[in-house]
Amino acid sequence: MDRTRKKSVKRYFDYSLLFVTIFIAGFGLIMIYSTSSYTAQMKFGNAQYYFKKQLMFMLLGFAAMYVAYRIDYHVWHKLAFPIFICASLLVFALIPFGSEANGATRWIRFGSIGVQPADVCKPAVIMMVSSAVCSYGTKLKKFRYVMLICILTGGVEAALVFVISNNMSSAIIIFLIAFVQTFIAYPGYKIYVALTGLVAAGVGGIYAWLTNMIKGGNMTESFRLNRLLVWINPENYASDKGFQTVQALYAIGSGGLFGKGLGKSLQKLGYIPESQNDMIFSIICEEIGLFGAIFVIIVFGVMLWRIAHVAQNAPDLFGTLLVSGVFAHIAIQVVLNIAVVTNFIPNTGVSLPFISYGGTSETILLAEIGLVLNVSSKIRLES
Amino acid sequence: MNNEELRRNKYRRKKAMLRKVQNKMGVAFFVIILVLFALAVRILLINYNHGEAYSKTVLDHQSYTSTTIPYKRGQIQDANGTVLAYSERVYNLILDPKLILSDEKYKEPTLTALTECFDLKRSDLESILATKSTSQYEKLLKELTKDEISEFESRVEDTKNNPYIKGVWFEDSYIRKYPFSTLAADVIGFASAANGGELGLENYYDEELSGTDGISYSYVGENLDVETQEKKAEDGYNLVTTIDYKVQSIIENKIKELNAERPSKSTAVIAMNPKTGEILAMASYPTFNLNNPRDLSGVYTQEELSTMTDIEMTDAMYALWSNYCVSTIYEPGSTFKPFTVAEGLEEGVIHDGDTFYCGGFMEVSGSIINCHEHSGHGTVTVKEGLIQSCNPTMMQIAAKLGGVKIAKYAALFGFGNRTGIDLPGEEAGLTIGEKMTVIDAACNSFGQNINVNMVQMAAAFSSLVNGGNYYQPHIVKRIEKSTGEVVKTIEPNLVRQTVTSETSQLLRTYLRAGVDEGLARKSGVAGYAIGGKTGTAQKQPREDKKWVVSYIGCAPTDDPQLVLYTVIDEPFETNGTSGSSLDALNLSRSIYEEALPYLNIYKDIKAEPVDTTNSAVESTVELPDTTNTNNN
Repeated sequence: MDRTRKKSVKRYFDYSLLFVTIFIAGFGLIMIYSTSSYTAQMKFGNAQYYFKKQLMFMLLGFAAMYVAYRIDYHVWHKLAFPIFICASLLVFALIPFGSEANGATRWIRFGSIGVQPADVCKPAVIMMVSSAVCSYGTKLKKFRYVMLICILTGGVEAALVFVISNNMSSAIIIFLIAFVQTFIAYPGYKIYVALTGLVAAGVGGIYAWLTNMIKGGNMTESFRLNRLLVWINPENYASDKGFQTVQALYAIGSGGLFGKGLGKSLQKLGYIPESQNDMIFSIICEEIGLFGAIFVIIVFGVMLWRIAHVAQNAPDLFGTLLVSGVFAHIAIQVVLNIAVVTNFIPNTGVSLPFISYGGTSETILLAEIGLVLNVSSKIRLES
Repeated sequence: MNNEELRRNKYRRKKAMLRKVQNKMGVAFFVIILVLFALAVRILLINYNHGEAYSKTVLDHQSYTSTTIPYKRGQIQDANGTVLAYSERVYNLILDPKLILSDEKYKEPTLTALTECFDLKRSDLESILATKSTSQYEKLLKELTKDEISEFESRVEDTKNNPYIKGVWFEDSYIRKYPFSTLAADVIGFASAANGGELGLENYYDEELSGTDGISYSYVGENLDVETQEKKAEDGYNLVTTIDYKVQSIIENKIKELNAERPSKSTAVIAMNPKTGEILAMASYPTFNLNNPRDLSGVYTQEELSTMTDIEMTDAMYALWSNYCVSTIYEPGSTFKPFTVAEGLEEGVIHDGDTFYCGGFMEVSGSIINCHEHSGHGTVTVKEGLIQSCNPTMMQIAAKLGGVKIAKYAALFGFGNRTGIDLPGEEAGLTIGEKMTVIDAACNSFGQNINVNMVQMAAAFSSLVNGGNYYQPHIVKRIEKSTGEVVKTIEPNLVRQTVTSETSQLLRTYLRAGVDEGLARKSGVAGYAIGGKTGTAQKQPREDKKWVVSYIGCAPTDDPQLVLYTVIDEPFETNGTSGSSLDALNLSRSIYEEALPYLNIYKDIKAEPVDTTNSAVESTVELPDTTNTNNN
């Protein structure tokens, strides 16, 4: 008895991570209200329509976070495979039950609540990769095993999401999560350095080829290719395909140092459609300026630092890998989102974690933070 | 022991691996921080490189929407409040394709409602939506009345049954309407939305009739709702004219009747109140429809129109629109003789009862100038000379006056200068002035070699019969706000004294004698004391033998309340031959017959009904070409 009490006293809890999470979720809610009230007023006659929905999901998310925090993370080792299968079945369920929006099938409706299977796949893949790596254990020294795990978990799930729901951005994120987790799990560096060089060369080659194509005036009517052309020269397509990109750049550029003031964005008034979604960061830049944008990036940096800290101090490999998966999930989405908004990479729909509007994503992310908090609570403090 | 060692080894390997993985986690974190840093730099660069340009672009987005609220142009009324011109509110149907296409639910009910309520084809609407899909302003129909849009509006208001009729609205506009179409057309003039007043009073008083457009602008306010502010339009002022609708229509009807039977090149009539200079009626023939001023079919046949060039059409239009009463100058002829007699009396060179001899002609500076009575009037008094319209009598008076005095009186009566009547396009006329030759003076005495406009004549004649007071002629007596509040009252403007009241009185008895027993007898109306003088002038160039016949008169002669001036330019079948003042007399009498009772002009009990069927009228006189003499 005495020993357990002593033990529980020495247990660690990452309050900084909890605080940063609450802060960023609250900030996200404010930005949702600011960006969506105009659209909500126009569409539903109720400026708080999106705000209230998001608030509901956030409360649900915090509940999920608490539940995840209370569950010993070792449970997920055994449950990983069933969860992975369930998530995959959920994706398959899109075929008969999915509801279509904007040309892609991404939602399954339970009454008034819609669930995105792609979002559910993310924690499933995180658990599956962690579980698989731990099963291989110390044998994991050959790169091809690592690749096998990456492809059989993240690769398969990403392919399902891409083929069934035509959701390329989620597929990329799912695969990248598995990739980052296996990168962390595999002890070697050289092969990744080589891979990075290869990808950089490839991107450079495509960029040069596209630039030449534009100069030569050879435009083909392919949807994905057009997207790349827009990426290189968005202002040429400002009235059409490049509209969203260019308007987001206008928003970022017009913010100045301290922005126009919270709620004072002009771009959200119809120029950036559904600005509460993927383009919300551009409105942050416009309303609170460079200062606010960099502050948001720093807050995400702090959050990732805390998560990385938990991963580095986790008591076992499974814990480290689980947390590294959450780290990868958040880091990838933050980077991709800001990169899209600033036209660093071609336009693809990636939401900004904790800030963009979206119920499933918000709930899942908060639950993942609960998972990290649970891992943190297992850290033994050595005095 | 071995087992223990194995377990320890395994644990150590596990620990080592965990350390490696956790170190790699650190590497991953470091990479992510680098990428986040790069993104922050990217944001900085966007602001640094494009900040100014992008801010401007975004500010352009702020442009609030504003709509002009058109003002209502003022009315033009006659002296008694009859509306001669007004603006009617109409509606333009505006389509907002962008809004309609913004939601699939809108298109179907909106197009259905449009095709059912208006004369619009579904296929046309579809093509507008397809080709102008980003437009927010497509004017589909113009100038719809309230009745025409009421069906559609009631459907839109019925939001229970028709919740999705969207993207259609009505823009206020006004069209100008002239209820009497041709009445006083060239006096009232017309106005268009684009150019404002283009003719007549519409043009002269354009500033007063025009109001100020209002504006309604909406913007996104602090609470993100669309706020609308409105600055009301200020309506234009109403004009109350001196025109009397009844007198005007009597005159126009009589002109029409005459020209239907005996068409002339132009016929024009002015009715004036000699005590104030107010124009009671001003009419001319041919005329046009104010509601369709560019339609020439009333004057030309279809065949004529089809052969006309654009320039000819334009010229014809301007000729039609020009107001004969102010814009045409001509030689007045014998209607000028009362002025000559008045001048002689004023200057004391002749007296009532003086006699002159007429042998049927007179030689002036070697030219023979005939009297219309070729056999001569013999010895006549001043009065007889005037009422018989004797040229030699007038020439003798002119000789006694001399050119300087004749020129002075021409100026005093306002000839050669614009009267300043409130109508556009007034011509000043032509006078020779003090340097006139003897032959000019002789011709001036019977109204040739001097060019006048009708308003000048009517105003000068009014001063001659009203006791000598020259009033500036005017046609608008009051300017009011749309609420009825008076902005400006235009009082009669007494300009100067032309003759003494004694001369005026004497002239009135002479003029009355002209109607009772002289050549103006056919203008008499039984029971009324009318004074008048006829005129038959020869137009330049003299060899064409074209004529202007006229009549000027007043009633009642002891206290004139009406001056009537009738001019017929190139009367029926007179070109190249000769004519008489008969048409002018008949026209004037027919006007008197209806206008005098209407104007409550009392009957002179002494006046007896007379049979005028066999009365003589003034005939045209051919003049020698005096242009060479003028040049000497």
